[in-house]
Amino acid sequence: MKGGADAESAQEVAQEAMIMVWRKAASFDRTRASAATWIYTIARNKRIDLLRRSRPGIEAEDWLTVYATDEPDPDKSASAGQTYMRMKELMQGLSADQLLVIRKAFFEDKTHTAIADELALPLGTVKSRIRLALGKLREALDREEKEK
Amino acid sequence: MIRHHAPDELLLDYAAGVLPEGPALAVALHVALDPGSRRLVRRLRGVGGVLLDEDPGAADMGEAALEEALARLEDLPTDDTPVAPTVRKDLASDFDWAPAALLPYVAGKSWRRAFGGFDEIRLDLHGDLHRVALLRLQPGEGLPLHRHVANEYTVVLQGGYTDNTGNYGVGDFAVGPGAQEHRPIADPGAPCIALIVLERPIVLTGFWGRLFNPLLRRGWM
Repeated sequence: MKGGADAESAQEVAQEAMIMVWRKAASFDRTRASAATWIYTIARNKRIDLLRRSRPGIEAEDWLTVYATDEPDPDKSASAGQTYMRMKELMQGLSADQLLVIRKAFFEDKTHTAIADELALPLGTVKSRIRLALGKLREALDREEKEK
Repeated sequence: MIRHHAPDELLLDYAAGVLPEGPALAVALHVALDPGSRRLVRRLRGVGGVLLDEDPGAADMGEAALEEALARLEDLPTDDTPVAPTVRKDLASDFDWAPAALLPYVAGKSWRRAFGGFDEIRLDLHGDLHRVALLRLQPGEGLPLHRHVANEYTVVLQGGYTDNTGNYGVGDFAVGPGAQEHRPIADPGAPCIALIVLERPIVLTGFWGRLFNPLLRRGWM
């Protein structure tokens, strides 16, 4: 995660995230998420906090609450480890073009609009790559959840 | 039942944390109200985890930074209280329709009557050029006919509205119809409350529009 900023800020995010992981380790629920996913989420939120430092009072912790589901979690039927391995498999089924766009979003902090600019692709092409990729993941996971 | 979902590309941008604050808030509120989008965002965090795992360079923080982080850890107690959603009781009565993610933005704010026959709360964002506001329309009331010059995102938080693109209820997400003109009208029942995120000022059409557009452009309205 490059952090969308200079190397120094990226290191700061990494440090803050590590400290958070340490402090919150006891509340980590492995039935809900794999460790990699959990750590990714913490790092992501720390980075958002850093980018919004000019705005005290609204922390990404508040944003985390939007993920708090009040309905039963369908992923609980499988262990998070299984879900993680399955996600890994499914991602191997994506085309190189589709993976490239997703990787750029996660690790180069680019919106789909910025990715289209950088790759000199029409916005519609980038959108349809994302929709195809996410559609494949969603379809496979939904079908497997229904079968359980 | 949510009928209008946020498009996948916006959910990806949101899950990766790359959206500016205004659009991120719109997607956050939609995700809070739409189980389907929430499921996708949770899965996308899984995608982020897989990518992080596969790319050892991605998490490379450097020797010195690692030492420093470890040193800071020495002094910290572990915190084993689970993260609980912050509920602000003082706000709850006026904003009982608002998902938790919105509450920090509306603290201390109240509705004011805006030109065009609706109530408005403008939200302050720092370092983000989007114009973000909550709009409240009484049943049967409409917004003035207008078209958009750039992206507009709308999330319905109470009631519903109808325009030439369809009917939108609580949790529904609308992406501005672009150059097309539209005139949303609030549905019968509870007043329609929606969060609107505008990339740039809208352009009013018709007589009143020509009169007021110069003011809109200057940000006076």
